[in-house]
Amino acid sequence: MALRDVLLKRIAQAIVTIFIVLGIDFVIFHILPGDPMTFLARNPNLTEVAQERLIEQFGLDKPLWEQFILFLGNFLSMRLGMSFHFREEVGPIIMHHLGNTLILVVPASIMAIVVGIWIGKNSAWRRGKAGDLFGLLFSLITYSIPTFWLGMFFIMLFAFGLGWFPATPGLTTPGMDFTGDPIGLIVDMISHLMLPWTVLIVAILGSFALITRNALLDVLSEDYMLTAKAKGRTEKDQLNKEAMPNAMIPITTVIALQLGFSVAGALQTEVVFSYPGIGNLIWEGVYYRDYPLLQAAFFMITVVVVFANLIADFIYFYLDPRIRVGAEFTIGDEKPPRPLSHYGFVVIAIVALLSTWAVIGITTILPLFILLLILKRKAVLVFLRNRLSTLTPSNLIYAWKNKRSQILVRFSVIALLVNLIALSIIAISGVFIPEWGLFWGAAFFGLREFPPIPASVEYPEWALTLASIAHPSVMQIIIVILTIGVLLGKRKSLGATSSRFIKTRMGTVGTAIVVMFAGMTLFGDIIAPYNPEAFFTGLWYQPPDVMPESQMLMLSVGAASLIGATLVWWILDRFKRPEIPRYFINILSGGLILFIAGIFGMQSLSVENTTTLIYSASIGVIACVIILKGLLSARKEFSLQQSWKIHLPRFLIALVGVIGVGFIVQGILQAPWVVSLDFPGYHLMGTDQLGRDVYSQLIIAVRITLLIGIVATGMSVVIGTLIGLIAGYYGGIIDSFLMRFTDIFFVIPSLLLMIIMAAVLGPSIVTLIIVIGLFSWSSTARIVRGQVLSIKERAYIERVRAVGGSNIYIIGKHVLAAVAPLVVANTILVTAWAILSEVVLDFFGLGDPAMISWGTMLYLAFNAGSMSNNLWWLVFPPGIMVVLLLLGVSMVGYAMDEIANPRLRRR
Amino acid sequence: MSSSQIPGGQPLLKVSGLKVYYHISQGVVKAVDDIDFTVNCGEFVGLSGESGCGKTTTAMTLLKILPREGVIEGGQALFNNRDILSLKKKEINAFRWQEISMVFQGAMNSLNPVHRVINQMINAILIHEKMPREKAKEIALELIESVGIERSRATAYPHELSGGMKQRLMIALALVLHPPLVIADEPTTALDVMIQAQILDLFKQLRQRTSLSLLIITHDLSVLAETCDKIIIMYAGKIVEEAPTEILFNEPAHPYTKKLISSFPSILADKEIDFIPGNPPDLIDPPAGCNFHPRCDYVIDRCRAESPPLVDEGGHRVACFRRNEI
Repeated sequence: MALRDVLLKRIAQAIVTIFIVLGIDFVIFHILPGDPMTFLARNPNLTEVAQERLIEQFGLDKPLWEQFILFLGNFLSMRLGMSFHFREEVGPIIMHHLGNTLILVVPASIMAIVVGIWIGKNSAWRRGKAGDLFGLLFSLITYSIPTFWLGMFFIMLFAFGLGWFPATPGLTTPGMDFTGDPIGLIVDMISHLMLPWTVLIVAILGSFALITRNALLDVLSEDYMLTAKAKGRTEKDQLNKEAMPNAMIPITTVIALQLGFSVAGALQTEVVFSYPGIGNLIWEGVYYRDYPLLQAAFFMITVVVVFANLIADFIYFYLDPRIRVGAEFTIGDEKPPRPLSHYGFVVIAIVALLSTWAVIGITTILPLFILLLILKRKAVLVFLRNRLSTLTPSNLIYAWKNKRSQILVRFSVIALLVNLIALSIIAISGVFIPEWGLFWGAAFFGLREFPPIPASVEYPEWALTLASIAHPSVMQIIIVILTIGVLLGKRKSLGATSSRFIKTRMGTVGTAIVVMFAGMTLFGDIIAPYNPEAFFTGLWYQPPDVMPESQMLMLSVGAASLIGATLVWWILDRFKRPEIPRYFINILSGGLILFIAGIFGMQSLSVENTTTLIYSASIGVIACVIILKGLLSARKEFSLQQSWKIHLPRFLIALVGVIGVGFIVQGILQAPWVVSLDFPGYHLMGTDQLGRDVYSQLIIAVRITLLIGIVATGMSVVIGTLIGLIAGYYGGIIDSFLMRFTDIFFVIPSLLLMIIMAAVLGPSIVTLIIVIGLFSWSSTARIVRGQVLSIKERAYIERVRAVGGSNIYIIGKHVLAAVAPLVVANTILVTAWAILSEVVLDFFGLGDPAMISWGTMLYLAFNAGSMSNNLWWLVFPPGIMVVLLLLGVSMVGYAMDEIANPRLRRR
Repeated sequence: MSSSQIPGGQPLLKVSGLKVYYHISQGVVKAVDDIDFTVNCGEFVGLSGESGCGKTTTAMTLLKILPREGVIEGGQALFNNRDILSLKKKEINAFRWQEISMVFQGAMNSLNPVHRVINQMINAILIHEKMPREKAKEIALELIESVGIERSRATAYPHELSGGMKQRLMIALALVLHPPLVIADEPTTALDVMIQAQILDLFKQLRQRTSLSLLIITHDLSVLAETCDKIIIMYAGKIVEEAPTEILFNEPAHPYTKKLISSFPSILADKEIDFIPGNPPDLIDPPAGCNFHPRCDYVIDRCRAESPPLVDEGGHRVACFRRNEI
């Protein structure tokens, strides 16, 4: 394919993308509860005349397809409708704001790309050394900071605190007249723009640095880099003249795809700085539920991003001689597509529908699922029989003798099947008997009654039984047991992986942070001194109290011993040293866990909380097992007198460090409890505008964040993996179709889409989960597809095919197993993204108002004017928590990637 | 056919006691463990052995392009009486390609895909020698012609060339500075037989026209038989046998060499293909005594206890206690 054809193809794709965006736009605003007619009529902001004009322009009284055609016509001719809030034509408003946004985004993006590439380049070149660690850490931290929070922080520090920049919102100082003074205007504008620019640059720079590092690491392992080195090129030339031109090719595409990310950053920056751009417009649109405005803003931003992408594509083709010179142009190693069985079509249909299910509604999957069951009834029966046959006594005895964990797995698989069958019966009945569907819907999404049937309605016995079997909590318990069984079965290989994981320092630190947050989730009830939702536990805006002296002492002793131990350890480390024995780590970490479990146990006893007592007891037992294992293996090696002598000094140092950590933990945990809690009470982190304790809110909010993050991630990873598997495995038309589809989701600024969807659907946890889950699968799909492409050509896959394995069997048993490590690593990174999205959505006021979350806390703090009133205790703690959690999660993800990713392992 | 007499040159490269270990998370891999050999001026030397026995590591050590994990633990590599291993960082860049150049394993990917072939060659010249670009271009073009590729193809990008052309261009790239020694790492592997023949022919021409020394690394013994004066056989990081080509093929003395030669299929003779049972040893934890003893048919107790020294008997060096018995 010649260059011209490729470019034409890209332009055609861009046009298709714009049409699809229009489609999404149309659909989103038609799934509003109630039809748009009544919705318009209810809106008091619009005059009778304006309403009629709207109805006529968009044909709101006509059938849906006519409306769609009218809508297309209107939008393509830039007639974007009437704003509810401004009561004007949307088009001019948007164009005006779009200009301002571009002034903000374009210079900041260029700067961020330049600096980001520079950081990533240096990081990759020094892989594994101090410089890399610094660059990677810096990128991860900036990537983890929610942009809006960074903005708030900068405003408090540089505008209100130090007074370096004007604190007045907007692009120019209000009330000043610059007519006939263009230089004064420009100076004023730049002084207003400096802070937003800086915030945006810092916010998006990290992701560019990470992209560059990854791309360059790929290139550095290529053979021609060895040639370059052998030729005697200086290091600088090797990097800049040989590696970078190659790396720039993938970097350009990925950066182009990330432009949506910059847009999302810009939206947040604008809101915080009250900058008159599209972001602020969207903020207002969300606040006033001004749907025409949102609809049009989404359309315009996407069009801009699509064009930016197109430009990047042209640059890309210019950079890559393989395309520029007019050679054969292929994406990846394109092989002839797999022959399709009818399975293929069904699966694809499901996937296509899965990805649009928010638009069409969950119930649409069910008929398809039933269809699949009927079509494949024989296979289903065989499947069920196979599951059951593992329960015959002889089979069980065999399993007991050879692999005990299998028994756990088998029983839980059957329980899960029973649960799913019950669930499907309920769901099917829900489709045919709508009021049933309502009950079930209520039951599964929120009402926590068990069984979930309102008491006022009498239902037969069997329905109650069915409801209990099908209940999600049963499913959760089964899944936990299943996971334990699988993990037990694989403990050897898991042990090997985890020891490699621990060796990457980043993994260790990340795990420690994540464990800390997990602890907060489990023990939140006994850590938080107040009920986080209780009003007036203290005064309004009560600033943080000083820590009690005893706790302060404990904290400083702990910190001193930890720092001292680390320093001594580090100095000892500089000499050649023997390998740290395993038991050494076991005993120390077990001891630390036991100590912390002990603190929690005591605390649970004193506040009489049985649940947390059970938690701490079981953690204590696990800690004891670890210590015991360590002691046992220590005794074995103890005969080597020498080894003990060598390790003793370091053991003592480590012990001091561990005790230090224990002191710190205890100092912080018990600080609020040793002082009186009566009104106005002691508040470690002050109180908010309703007198609620910030510290308690902070602790309890972890739960909601983790819940949304994990569930949404699960959803997006399942969708992404499925699409990636099918696209990569089947190839051909399906591949191009699915990948174009994925690209579209890549290009559309997903955060913006999430904001708009959530605004339309109304704030609730379920909305957040669905919206985040639906729009963050594209990266997973791409990564999985790439891996599948290389795996499916391996000889062993051909072997399975020759033996007679079906496509589904190959995908499930062999391809999926091979991509699993990569999926796991990617899952963790998607989790970070989901949490970040959740925080941003909360900040836009789209979180569940009844739930305490960090984003909502920041939203309230922002609206309470905490920046100008210097209420720093409302702003800093939630933001720091978010950054810390995200940092921990992404560090774990990066460490996993280092282990799982074949292209990094190769070196 | 290979010539039987050894060209009487001065030793160009003299490696002695070279040890290269890889320090990886699983332990220390003794990839090259105490090897000695020489390459004389104008001599073609073959280095052979199973995969993973340290051939490529040896070559990479000579150019000091080992990966970060590879550490030179000891030894000397005298090149024109200068020790390569003790060169400073600045000297090393001037040394590479000027004195020793290398044709890499898998030359398909050894040319940078975003630069034109001719530019890559010109660059290699300009890095080391101050001359006008035009002159460098002329030198490069002449070389390209001499490896049998038309001048008009010089401005192509690597992806526009066939595998054989890329390999020949890679050889041309290695020759641009007329270095005294070229190392060719698996120059014919992964090429089809016809292209292999082209490459071998090219080597033979070079041999006739220039005073070049060549160290060919390959596991394909037939390539060595065609081109080399002297062959070194390595096993598990050590040299087990070294002899002039004819002697090595006619009277192999080490059991490993015997097996290696007899496991090679012949097109014409209807001979039984032999194989070597077992795998090469784990280089992290090599067996005590002779590295080859677990797979050797002639093993005696002494082999299990002591490592046999490399004994020179009239230019035929063998590391085996029983070289004269078997």
